[in-house]
Amino acid sequence: MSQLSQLVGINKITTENSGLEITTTSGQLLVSNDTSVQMTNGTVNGVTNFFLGGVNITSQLAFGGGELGGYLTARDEDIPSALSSLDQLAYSISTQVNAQNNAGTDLDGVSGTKDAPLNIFNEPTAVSGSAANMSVVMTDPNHIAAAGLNDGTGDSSNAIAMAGLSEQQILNGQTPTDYYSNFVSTLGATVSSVQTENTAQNASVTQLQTQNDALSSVNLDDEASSMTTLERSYQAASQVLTMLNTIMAAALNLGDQTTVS
Amino acid sequence: MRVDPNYVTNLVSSLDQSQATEQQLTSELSSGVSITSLSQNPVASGENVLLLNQIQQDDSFTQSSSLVTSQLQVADSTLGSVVTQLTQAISLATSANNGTMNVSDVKSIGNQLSGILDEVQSLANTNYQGQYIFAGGQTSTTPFTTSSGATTYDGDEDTNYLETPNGQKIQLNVPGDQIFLSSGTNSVFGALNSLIADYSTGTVDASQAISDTESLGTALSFVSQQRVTIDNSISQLGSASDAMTNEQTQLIAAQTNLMQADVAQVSTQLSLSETQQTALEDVIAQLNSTSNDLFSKLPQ
Repeated sequence: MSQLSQLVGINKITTENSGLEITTTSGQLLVSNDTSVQMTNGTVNGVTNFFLGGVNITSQLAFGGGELGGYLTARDEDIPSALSSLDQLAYSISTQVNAQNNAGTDLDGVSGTKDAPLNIFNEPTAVSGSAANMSVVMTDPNHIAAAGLNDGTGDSSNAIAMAGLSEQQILNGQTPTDYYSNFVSTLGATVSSVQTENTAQNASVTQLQTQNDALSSVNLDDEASSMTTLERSYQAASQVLTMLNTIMAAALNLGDQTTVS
Repeated sequence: MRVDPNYVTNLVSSLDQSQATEQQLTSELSSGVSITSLSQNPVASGENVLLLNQIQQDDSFTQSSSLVTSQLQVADSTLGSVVTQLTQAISLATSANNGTMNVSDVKSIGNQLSGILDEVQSLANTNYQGQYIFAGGQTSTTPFTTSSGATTYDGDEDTNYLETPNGQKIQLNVPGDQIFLSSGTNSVFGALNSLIADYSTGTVDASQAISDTESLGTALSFVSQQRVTIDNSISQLGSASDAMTNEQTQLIAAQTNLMQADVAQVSTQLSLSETQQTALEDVIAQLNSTSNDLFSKLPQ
């Protein structure tokens, strides 16, 4: 059970007739007296999920604790949350810079249009996946629209506007730098608090283990002294038996040494 | 309450922890960086992002500033050459106006002035790295052309500014028509074209020629004034650039303080940690020795 609880959070219930029931922390039955339910795994949308008797219990397992609970929490909550923040950042930067570049005139005197846009970044279609797909697609530096719309090619007002995006609150009321700085701090704080919790829990487990062992584990010195006592008792008892044997033989012989030995 | 006979195994987890601490301190010492992962100091990591961003912006400005300063210096020396040419033109015109020259000499002065006009026009059409610097925003088109005794401007009035990280705006160009084709007596090309026309026949209409020569003088002063705008921009850029370099140095120092390992402190911690670890290992070795077991005392 110790091994099982390390893997998955469990609850133990003693039934009438001193039977044993083991369930997950969210109540799914794993073992009942002498029958057990098989946990299987399968993929859903390319992601491994866990099933108990055909029912998908992945999200319940994530909250249950244990090694599996830990992995699932990281995989299904913490990592997607960090990815989504990065996606938001990539999406905002890509769309805003592209939009600004299409609002000016490039060195060839051309302005971006809806059908022939002048994009610097790969224009994302949705927020999710923007970070992974972010790349520079512009190959000719002449297409950087530094000049304002309909201004001469020597104008620099649009370039100034693009540089100014870094000071604008384009992400939930934050500038890109502030947003990323907050993201970094939050991620660091999350990891740090989990590490602290881990240390505390380890200490707690160690204490409980110590108490458990104090009650139930074998002390070799105790056992050695018990064994010695028992051995001597046995020897004493077997001596008594030997003496009884001799006395019985003497009684049967009635003084004559040769009839019984 | 019995004593836990297995406390030695619990010491092993302490040993693991102690080893992990020692490894972390060693890597901190060898890399010189006190924060190798975000969780060690989340607030400092966040602050580091902000500092790095500011440092990059200052660096960006310093680079832009040096590129632009080169262009401004080209503009400044071009205008210097223009002033030289115009001074020469004025002295030629003055000599033609004094009434001592014959027709062919006057015509020759006219030709020389023509040459000076071509030179000044070519200076006004200076191209720096593929851009006409006196064309306003129309930097792909040649700004000045002369035909039939008149010079026309094909640029525009667009002026560009460079904004320093602390918000100061520095003008980067002066449109050509403001320098060379300004109104009335300030127009360089106007005065030159008039003088060339005055001397073309070889006979000088004194009052006209003198008036046009005075115009040329006024135009020359005007060019010098325009030159001041460009000189101001050069010195403003120089100061701003120095200020940014200083700021960058300070920011880098701040960032170093934030992220750098304090070698003395880390060495002390490392030495303590090593002592702790050695002590733990000794304790475990002692406790684990099987000769303490009563079984070994029993006769075999």
